[in-house]
Amino acid sequence: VATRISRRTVLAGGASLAATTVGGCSWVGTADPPARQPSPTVRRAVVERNAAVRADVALRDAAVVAERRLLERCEATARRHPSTAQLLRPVRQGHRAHVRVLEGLWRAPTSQLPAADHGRVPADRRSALADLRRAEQRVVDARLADCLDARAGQLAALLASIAASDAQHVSLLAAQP
Amino acid sequence: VSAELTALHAALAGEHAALFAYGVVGGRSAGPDAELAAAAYVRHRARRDALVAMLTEAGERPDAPEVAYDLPFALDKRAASRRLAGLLERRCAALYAALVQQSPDARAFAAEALVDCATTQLSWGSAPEPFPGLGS
Repeated sequence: VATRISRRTVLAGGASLAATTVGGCSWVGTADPPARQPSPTVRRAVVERNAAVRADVALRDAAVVAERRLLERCEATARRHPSTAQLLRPVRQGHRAHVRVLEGLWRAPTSQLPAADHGRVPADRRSALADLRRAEQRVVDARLADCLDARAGQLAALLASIAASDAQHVSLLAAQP
Repeated sequence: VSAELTALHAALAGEHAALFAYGVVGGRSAGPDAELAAAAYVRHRARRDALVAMLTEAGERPDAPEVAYDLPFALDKRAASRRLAGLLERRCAALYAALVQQSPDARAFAAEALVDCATTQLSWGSAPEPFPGLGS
């Protein structure tokens, strides 16, 4: 069955979801057409399963778009205010890692997703960092909301973890003068 | 026992350990660190109580805390207390990531807890991580 969801626990600390997905192993199959002549029950189950996978892929896509935009915003901020480059380095690394793992979840391509927005970076360093902090916070809230809608428990955990990482960025930026 | 209940029990055990460790850390801290420890203690205690309530509602008997816990290293310096606090936040984050995955009912609670552990971890001087609770 393509969509068997692994229920391996990460309690022991050994099985790391991120590591698993970085390794290129996707845990939920792509939505595929039903086998020939299935019974109505099987057909309904397949339809429901495919709908659930599509819904999860949509949540993944939304996260990819948001993380790409944050990455671009970080890079634009670092270009405009070179003194922020070092502070923003772990933030940029975080967003890159988020995009990479999210893209690896399903074979469904993410290249067709909407392009990044080109918001202007304020000329004042403090305002630029405050803008970035608000953008990160909006993404934290969005991922937490999407986490509740995820069908697969492992996608929910990944979205919650990404929210937690972006919340760390908010704290990091809030600590700046 | 289902994976969901296992994750709930594990989260409770983690909060018991965190409360013990914060008791030690708080006793050895002063100034901003003591305030940070006290505030974190209150949040962990609230989550412990919530987990006890969830387990009870599920018909489970919540475990009591251990009498004492082995600390992973000696708290001979102030930096060691901060490191211990960061470590236990990281461990709790992992338990809440597991709970998010296993329990649809506790998901909202666990996701908020994961976010709080990750940001508290940072305020103890730990570096940001791309995937808090899931390992690097």
